[in-house]
Amino acid sequence: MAKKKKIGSYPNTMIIISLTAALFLIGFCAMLVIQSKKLVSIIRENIDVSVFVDKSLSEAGRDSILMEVRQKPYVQPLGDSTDITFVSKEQAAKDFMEGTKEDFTAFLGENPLRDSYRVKVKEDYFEESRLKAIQQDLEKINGVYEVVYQENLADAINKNITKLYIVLASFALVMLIIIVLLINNTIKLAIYSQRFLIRSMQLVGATNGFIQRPFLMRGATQGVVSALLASFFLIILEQIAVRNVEGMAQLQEYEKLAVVLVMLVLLGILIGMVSTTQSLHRYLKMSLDDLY
Amino acid sequence: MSISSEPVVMLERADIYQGDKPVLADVNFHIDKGEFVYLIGRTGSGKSSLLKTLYADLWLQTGSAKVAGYELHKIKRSDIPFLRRRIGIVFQDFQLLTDRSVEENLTFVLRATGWQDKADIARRISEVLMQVGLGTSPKKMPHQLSGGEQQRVVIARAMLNEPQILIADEPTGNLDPEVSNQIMEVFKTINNAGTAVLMATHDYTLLDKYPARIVRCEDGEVKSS
Repeated sequence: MAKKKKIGSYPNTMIIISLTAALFLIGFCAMLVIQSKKLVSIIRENIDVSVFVDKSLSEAGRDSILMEVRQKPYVQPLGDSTDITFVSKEQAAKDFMEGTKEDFTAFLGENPLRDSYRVKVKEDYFEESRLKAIQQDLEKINGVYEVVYQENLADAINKNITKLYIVLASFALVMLIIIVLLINNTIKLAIYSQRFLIRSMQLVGATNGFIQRPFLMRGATQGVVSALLASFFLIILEQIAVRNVEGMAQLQEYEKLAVVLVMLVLLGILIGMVSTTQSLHRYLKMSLDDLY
Repeated sequence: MSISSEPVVMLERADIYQGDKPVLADVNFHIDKGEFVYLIGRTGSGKSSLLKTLYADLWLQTGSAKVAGYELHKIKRSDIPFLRRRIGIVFQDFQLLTDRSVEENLTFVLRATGWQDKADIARRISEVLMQVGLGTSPKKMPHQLSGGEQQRVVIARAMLNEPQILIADEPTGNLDPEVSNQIMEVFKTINNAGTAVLMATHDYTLLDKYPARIVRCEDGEVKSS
């Protein structure tokens, strides 16, 4: 016996593939947002300004600079004191040699580095203009030779990530448009191939809601399946990144990732149902004579 | 006005259109409860358009009409399914679903119109099949039935929701005279039980054999005798 034609059934592989791709890109964007925010927050927590002192300065002179810097409102407090570390020029040379594996004092004959204070700044001041103001303020202190901070770091991070968002979001948008067109076309074909069933239902007095229900259920199922597939691929990608990229583990926020995945499922259902509904509305309103 | 005396179908100064094309002008006629009415006229005279307007497949653009308690000139799209549940439709383009049995065809209609209880569905199917004289064939597929039997199932399907009126477009068009008579007997039985019938037909021998009021579509007008 021939298989019974069921109302609301239509091929959906292409829809699921496209919807999965779009949801994957959207989820990927969301993960990037979370991780870049985490990265910026880690950088903020570790931001410091190096205050290099004059070579000729005595220990008393250095202490006096320390006292003055401690009074500054932008210095991060640490317990009862402030988060300021003294780095002697010997220590700085040692650190440098460890990094470069070269003993520069051997061919220079002396250590050209200076004593410095590493001053941690409050998170609120993590802005290019405010850091610049701090630099100028500290350089006014007597005995300070130079104040250095890593310029343009925050701006560089934000700028590059924004570019990436735009590219990914554009891809996601194109995919969404393709999905809406694909669903629209598929529903049109489904309604055409089921026009006798639909005609029968309409003539006996089935409501549009009743006729639409199986289509909508299918739309919602496509959304859920696509979102689960997209979530699965995102988790795999995230795990690959954590295992292969140094420091990635530090950027992971699993609670937020879980929220993203739940949102993806909801978004999948929404896209599946909304675009199915609008296609159904368009074609069910059409006279069946036109569809014939 | 008492509800029981209200006609099942009432058209006043109605113009019937097929798309943008007017096919019948200034239509005035009514069908009372339990009445049997023939609708006759040549092919293309507007019979089908008139019937389609009665079950709101075509919008009534001018004039007024009331069918089974619904005012067609004011009807909302969302009310159309409920109007159709009060009308039984027996049409040539509304055939049985060939991929399912008689019982499944009827179950499909009942489910589509909100029936859920399996026992109620089984009981109603058995009642309508008895009514059309097909009590023993619920499991058969449409292709296992003769033309007359298929038409009986179509009538049974139209009767499922106890309509106030049966609208039939050429229900005997493809049947031989003997089977046509049997189908007419079914319509008569249904009519005698209180359901109004509006039947479009070309078969004038039926008019003699089963006399009833005649409504004619000719020259762009509807003439009621």
